[in-house]
Formats: sequence, C-alpha cells, structure tokens
Amino acid sequence: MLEFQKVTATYKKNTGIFDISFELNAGEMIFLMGPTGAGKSTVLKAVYSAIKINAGKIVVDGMDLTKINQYQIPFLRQKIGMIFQDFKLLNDRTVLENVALPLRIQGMPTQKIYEEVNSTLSKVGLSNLHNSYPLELSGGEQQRVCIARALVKKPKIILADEPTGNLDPNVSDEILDLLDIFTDSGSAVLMSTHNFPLIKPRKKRFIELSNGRIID
Amino acid sequence: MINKFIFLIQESFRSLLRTKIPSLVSSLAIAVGLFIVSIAYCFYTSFQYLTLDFKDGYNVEVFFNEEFSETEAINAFNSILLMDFIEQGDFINKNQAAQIFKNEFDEDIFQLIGENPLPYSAIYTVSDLFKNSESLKEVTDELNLLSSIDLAIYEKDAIIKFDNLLSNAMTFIFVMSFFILLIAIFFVSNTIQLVIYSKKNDILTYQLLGATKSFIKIPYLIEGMLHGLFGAFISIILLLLLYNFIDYYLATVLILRNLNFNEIIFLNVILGMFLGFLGSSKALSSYVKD
Repeated sequence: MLEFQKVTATYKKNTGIFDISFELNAGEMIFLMGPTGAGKSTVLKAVYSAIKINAGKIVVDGMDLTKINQYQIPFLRQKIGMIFQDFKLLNDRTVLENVALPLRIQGMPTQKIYEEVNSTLSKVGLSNLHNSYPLELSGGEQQRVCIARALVKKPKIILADEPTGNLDPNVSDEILDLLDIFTDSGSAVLMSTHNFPLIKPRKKRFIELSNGRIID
Repeated sequence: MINKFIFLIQESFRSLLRTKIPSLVSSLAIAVGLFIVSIAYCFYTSFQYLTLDFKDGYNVEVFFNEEFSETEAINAFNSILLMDFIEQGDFINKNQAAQIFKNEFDEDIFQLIGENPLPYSAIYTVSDLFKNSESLKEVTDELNLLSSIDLAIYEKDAIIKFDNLLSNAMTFIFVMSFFILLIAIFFVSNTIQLVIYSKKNDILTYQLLGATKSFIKIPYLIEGMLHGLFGAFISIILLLLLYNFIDYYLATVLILRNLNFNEIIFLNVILGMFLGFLGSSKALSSYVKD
C-alpha cells in the first residue's frame, strides 16, 4: 500500500529525513514515534507530496510519487485520508458539511454525499451532531469529525499527524480505537505520535525516528 | 462535473453573503466606475452625432476654368462627381453665383461692374471617409491639379480646429475611462484579497483534502463577477434616474440624442462582470499558488 525506499527529504542541510525505508500493508497500522523534530511529520508530508524528496522513492498504492507532476498532487491527496493534530475543520460549516467536503471535491452527487456522510458519522458516533459547528464541539468530538472526514471517501491509506496531541488520555484511547476499527476494513494507517505510553499497549508495529533517521 | 460546478456557485454566494460590507464596497466601486464610463459613452455617442452634423459642412468649393462655357463647366462638374471621394455636388451657374454675391455683400454685381465675371463653380460634399482635415487637403490638392479647375478650396482653419477638438475630447474620454476602470479593478481586487486572506487557513485545508487550484479559485472568481453584476445593477439604476432627470428638467438645454439604452445596459453588465473577474484574478494570483 505504501512503500518508502531509501527516502531522503531535507529542508536545510541537516534538517529533514534521511534514508528512510519501510513498508505499510493493507489493514496494517504503524506508529511513527520520536521526539519533536525527529522527522515524523516530514515522513507524512512526503507521502502527500507537501515536500519534495531529494533521493529515494515513495510508492503509494502503486503510484511512484517521484514521477507525478504538480497537477496530479490534488488527485493523489483525494485518495489519502488525513487527520491533523489541529483538526483543520472549517469553523463556518456544520459537521455534516465538513465531512462532506472531500466528496464535494470529488464531484459526487448531493444525495449520495448525504448517504455516505450519515453512514460515516454514525460509525464515529456523531450522528446527533451533524448540524453542529466545530466550535460547539469538544476536542474529542472535533477529532472524530476529522476522522469521519478522512474516512468518508474510503481511502486506502490514512495519515494521522499526532491526532491525539491535543486530547486527554481517555479521549485519545477512543480515537485510537476508531482508527483500529478501520484497519479491520482494509485501510492502512500511518500515525505519528510522541506519546509512547499511549501506543505501548496497542501491540502494533512502530518505527522510531531520531534526527530524521530510523533507529533500529 | 455539474454537481461540482453547482457546489462552487453555491460557495460563491455563501462567501458573498458572509462578507456583506466588503462586497457592497466593492460593488459600489464598480458602480461608480461604470456610471462614469457610461456617461462618457453617452457623451461620446451624442458627440459623434453632433460631429456628423458638423461634418456635413465639410465641403470643397471648386471654381472652374473661367474660360469654360457652361456646357464645358457642367461636363467638368460631372466628371468630378464620379470621383471616389465625392459624395454629391451642387453646380452653381453664373446667375446663382451673382445671387450668392448679392446675399453676402448686398450688392448687385451687374450694377457694380456692368457684367458678371463670376466663374462657374460647384460645392462638393466629400464621402464620410474623407471628412477630416488631412483627407480634405489631399482632395483639394488633387482637384487643383485638374486643368478644368482654377481653384479648389475648403474651410481649412475651422476644420482643423474642430478635428483637434474632437481628437482631444475622445482622448480625454478614453484615458479618463481607463483610469476609472483601473480604480474599480483595484477596489475589487483588494476586497477579494481581504476575503481570501481571512480564509487562508480554509484554503490550506481545501488543498490538503485534494482540491485542485480551479476548485479553490472558481468561487472567488464568481464572487468577483457577482460584485461586478451588482455594481452594474446600481449603475443602471443611477443612469436611469439621471436620464429621466435630464429629460424632464434639462431637455431644452441638454439634448441626449440617439441613446440606445439596451446597449448601455449590456455594456454595464458585461463590463461590470469583466471588471469583477479581473479584480478577483489579480487577488487570487497573489494567494492561491502551488
């Protein structure tokens, strides 16, 4: 599903990621671990082509990212579900409109959008909040909206950049439970975090980064 | 595709309603620009008809060879009538010339000198294409080369003055209109820039979710065109009020001739939407990049 082959991507001389190689298969969840500045977000940004790689190869669902041009990047991102630490919700839209946005971008008919959105909201436990606005929700609820928005387009890969960073431990656990459920349906999840106690009981594969390199 | 486009149009209306005051300011700026340009256009149109009236007097007066008989003069008159630059002509025989002399100087030439030495002459009206000072000079020079003509003249000074006046007026109208429209574009661009700046985080979210540049830009472009459309609507209302005012109170002083209001409405709508589109494009080029 996702393959890094000796990928190097740098911002400045000694800042970025270096010689990163790993594979993420369908239905698998990998945690990217490391302190702040280790390169976790850089790995995720390389997957959705927010930064250019200097060396190596990234293959996403059979697509070699070194061979795509700038006009293909939006279509790559339409295939990837993304969850952010700061949620990145549109505060002037309802929960329903936020979750519907990826499907609007794809040009799905309105009736079908409502069906998919309602189905996804019930999976994340937010059916009764579809007319609420993000600022009316708690942090955990906002993150669920973000997850729903990522999942509504049925992506093969989900990238989660510190999704529990702003949440308390109980809510964080619930969020991870949700992500776990979706790996069962075949999605692959790559999640960055610096919260080792949170992920330790999960018994999932994790990749530890330090100064942009994988620590064996 | 259609679903996407309908959504984008809805987004543009949503954005417009969310930014009522800036949108109103932008529309008013366009309205003022269009109003002034429309007035300039009305003056230009009226002026054109005025100049056409005046240019009816762009004539060339020709005096035939004084040794010509009337038949020879008429033949020469007819041959000049066939020339491309001549539209029509009036032949003036000796008696008519004497009458003109009497009308101008209040003297009977027969009584003055006992005979009528006035030559046969003609007044020719040139074709529209030649109704300017340079062309009239060329026409006159060409006629003066003919052996059948002793002298061909036109009212050089008056025509040159009028041509210059016309040219200056047109230049002033176009330059003023151009700058006014630039100002209107500037206002729209600034408004849209403010809207986009306030939405930059949302735009980033759109990009991260896989929205193409056109998906992001189209609502703002439509919004700019809507500003232009509302501006055009305001301008048309003002023009109608002004027209009725002039027609009712100033009809004896100011005559607005041959104004095609449908043309003016069309001009306002198209130009307004175009200005809005240009203003938005300029704003978007700064903010929505790769």
